[in-house]
Amino acid sequence: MNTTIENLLINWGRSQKQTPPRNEILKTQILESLMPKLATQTSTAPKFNFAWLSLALAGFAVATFFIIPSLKNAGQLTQTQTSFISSDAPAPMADKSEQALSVPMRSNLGGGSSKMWPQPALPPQTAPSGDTREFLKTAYSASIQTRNVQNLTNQIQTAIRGFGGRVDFSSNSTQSGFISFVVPAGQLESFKQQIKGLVNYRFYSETAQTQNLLPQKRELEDRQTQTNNTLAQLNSEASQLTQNHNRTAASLNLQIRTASKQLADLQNQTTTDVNLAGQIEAQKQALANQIKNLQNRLSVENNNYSNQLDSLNNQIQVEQNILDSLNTQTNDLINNVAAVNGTISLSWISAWTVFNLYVPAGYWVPGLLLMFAMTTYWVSQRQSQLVIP
Amino acid sequence: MNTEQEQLLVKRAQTGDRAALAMLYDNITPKLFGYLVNTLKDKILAEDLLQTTWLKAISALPQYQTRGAKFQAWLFAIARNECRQHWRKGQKEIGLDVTKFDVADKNEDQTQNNLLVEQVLNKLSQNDRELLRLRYIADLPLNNIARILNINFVAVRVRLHRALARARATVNS
Repeated sequence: MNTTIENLLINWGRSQKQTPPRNEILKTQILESLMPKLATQTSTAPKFNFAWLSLALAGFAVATFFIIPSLKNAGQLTQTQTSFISSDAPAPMADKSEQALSVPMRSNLGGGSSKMWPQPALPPQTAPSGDTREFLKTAYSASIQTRNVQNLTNQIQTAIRGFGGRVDFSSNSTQSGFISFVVPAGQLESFKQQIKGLVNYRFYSETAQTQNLLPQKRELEDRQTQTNNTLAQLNSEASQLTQNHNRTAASLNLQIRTASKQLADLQNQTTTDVNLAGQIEAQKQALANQIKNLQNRLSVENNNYSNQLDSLNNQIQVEQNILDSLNTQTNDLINNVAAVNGTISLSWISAWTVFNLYVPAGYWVPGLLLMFAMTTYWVSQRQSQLVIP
Repeated sequence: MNTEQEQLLVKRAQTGDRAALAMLYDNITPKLFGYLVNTLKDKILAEDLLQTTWLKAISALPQYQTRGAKFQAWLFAIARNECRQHWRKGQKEIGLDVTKFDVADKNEDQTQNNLLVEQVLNKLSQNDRELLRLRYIADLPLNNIARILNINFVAVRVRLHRALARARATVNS
């Protein structure tokens, strides 16, 4: 039947071909309309065929689309290795208490932030596993790219104060900005959410490092215990010293009083006997020497006591000062844990970088090729259209 | 007339060679006029549009470029455009008039076949009819029809295949 219908149509088509009734007249008119001046006009040279170019560009686009991920993977491997090597190098640290919490001031953006941050240093001391207390100190750092640095810097400062924090340092220009601040630890999550809400996630990266300050706390506690023990020992020594001194001084005073009484009794005795008077005089002399000797011993005892007591008091004062200092350090540590030190760095972002953040790295090449391919296809389509007068 | 010969004649006509143009006219006019008559169902109007088509083609001949299509495809595109302009003025395509086939013909079978084809075409859509006219009256290759209709070559093939299937179904019914 297929052949039949096609044959029918072929025969029908042939039968439809016909010349107009006034064919010769029409032909003459039409031929006369062909002006001789056409002879001077030349047809334009055939234009470049964009269809092939379109096809080639589309092919390149597809090829690069598949090639770029493999190149990207190779690049990532190299970066990982570099990061691993650099992590072995000791990071410069500012202070012992903040050794593990040093926060880098700058970072890159675009999803690969973690590889640019130094690895967190190990805590300087370890705590026994039985002690499960936590004194978590958090350091927060964020990096933001924006088209309006100054405006965003002001917004962030307002947010910091709004969360009960304080701005320690701030600088901004049209190209970059930096804010160093402190916010209460309990407000950190809310604060982070607000900062994230200020810009698109592509332009924001953050690093939060947390360290348990238990070793430092335990060290302070150990030193406090040791100081308290020393203080108690010194107080006990002072007390013992005073008791001994009082006992010795009382004994000496009693001996002095007894000797003085005997001396007074001898002085009250009167005799005419020359021998007896000589003996009395000798006893008086002996008692006077004894009293003098006792008084000297008492004086030495007093001096020794006074010196030893002063020495002990000095030691007690030193230990007390140490104890006060340890209490202050403990309070500082608690306050330190209760607050989060943070930095936010801002940098101006170019339109090209914005484009790169939105388009996965390298994929703009096939995208561009595809765009060219579509353009050339459009041109070729326009070229291939018949121009109807 | 093959494509190379046609191109040669067109180039000569572009230089003002009336003989070349006459050869082109003689070769193309029967198809073109047949197409117009079948489309418009009016020989006088078809003659007018034939003349208009040729005159417009000659006036635009210096700017003519092949662009991968035959010269006759360009002429049929102009003719088709003229038909559409005519219809835009308010006159739609006229339906089948079977009385035209009542006249006794030398070839009775051919007349019967033509009547059958016209009845089949009448039941097809305007796009299908246009496609079959360009294919079987104008004898144009599919890529040239694609250029005239401004659609893809594959789409032309698919549409033609479907039009033939519908025509076959109509004949069978």
